[in-house]
Amino acid sequence: MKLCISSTGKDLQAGVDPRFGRAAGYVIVDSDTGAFESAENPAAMAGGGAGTKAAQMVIDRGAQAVLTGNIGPNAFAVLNAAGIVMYTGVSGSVQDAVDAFNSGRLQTVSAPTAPAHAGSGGRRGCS
Amino acid sequence: MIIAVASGKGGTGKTTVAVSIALSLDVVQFVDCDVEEPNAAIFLRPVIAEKIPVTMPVPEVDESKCSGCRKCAELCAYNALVVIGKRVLVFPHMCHGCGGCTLICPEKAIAVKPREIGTIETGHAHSMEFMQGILNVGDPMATPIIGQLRARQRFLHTGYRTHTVRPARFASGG
Repeated sequence: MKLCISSTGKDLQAGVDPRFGRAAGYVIVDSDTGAFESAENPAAMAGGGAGTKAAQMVIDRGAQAVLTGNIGPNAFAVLNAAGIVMYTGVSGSVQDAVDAFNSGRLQTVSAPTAPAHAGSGGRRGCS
Repeated sequence: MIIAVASGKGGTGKTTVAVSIALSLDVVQFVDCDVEEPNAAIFLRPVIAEKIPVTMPVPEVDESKCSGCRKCAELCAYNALVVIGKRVLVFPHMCHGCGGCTLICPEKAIAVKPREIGTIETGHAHSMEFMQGILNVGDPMATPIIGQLRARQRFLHTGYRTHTVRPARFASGG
């Protein structure tokens, strides 16, 4: 299964970024073969709409599941509509996340786990 | 003469000052542009004669015409459109109503429909003409309502005009 993991770096040793829409980037891992590639987040610095833009990228890359810390309402709506399974509360390294997925330890979510703008920091997130 | 009462900080007395100035003058048009929480009406107790809805144009996609080319989603500066296969998801709250998606769609599959974001109320209070804008709770964009208030105000006649605005919105570029 093709997993998209929000990450702070570009390989399996990178940490899981707790934010989905505002993640620094993503590592896309094939859980069956272990092959991976990195993807930049086109929305990391977006003025607004990071969740929908990042979700569009995940869909376009053909991922079937998203592993992240938290996910906001708009990204959730997009991924849910696209039939992509979401796992939240994921932490540690990207490799840890893949291992946790493979051992069936992750929980899927059926609702957003963070409010809008939560991951953008500063004024917007706190206002 | 237009007197604008503005402050970047809330609770500093914009409404108090604006209302006091307006009541001390003879011929006044009072415009409450603080559309997120217009409070001048609490003091002036206006009789509202007209309520005008304020709308924004948002896209509506005809899925039978959509080819899934994604040009609309790529164009949208506010990421209000997402394409999943041949389905377009629209996030109306994120749309700024620019209309770009309707122009770029090669299949002419995108029409606009009005979405109500608030109301403008006009009436009288004491001897003054009164106007206020009210943004619907939960809606993010105040500026279209302020813009329409200001556009309407030009058509009304008077001497003095007093505005109260909360420019925190302007300061943050929102």
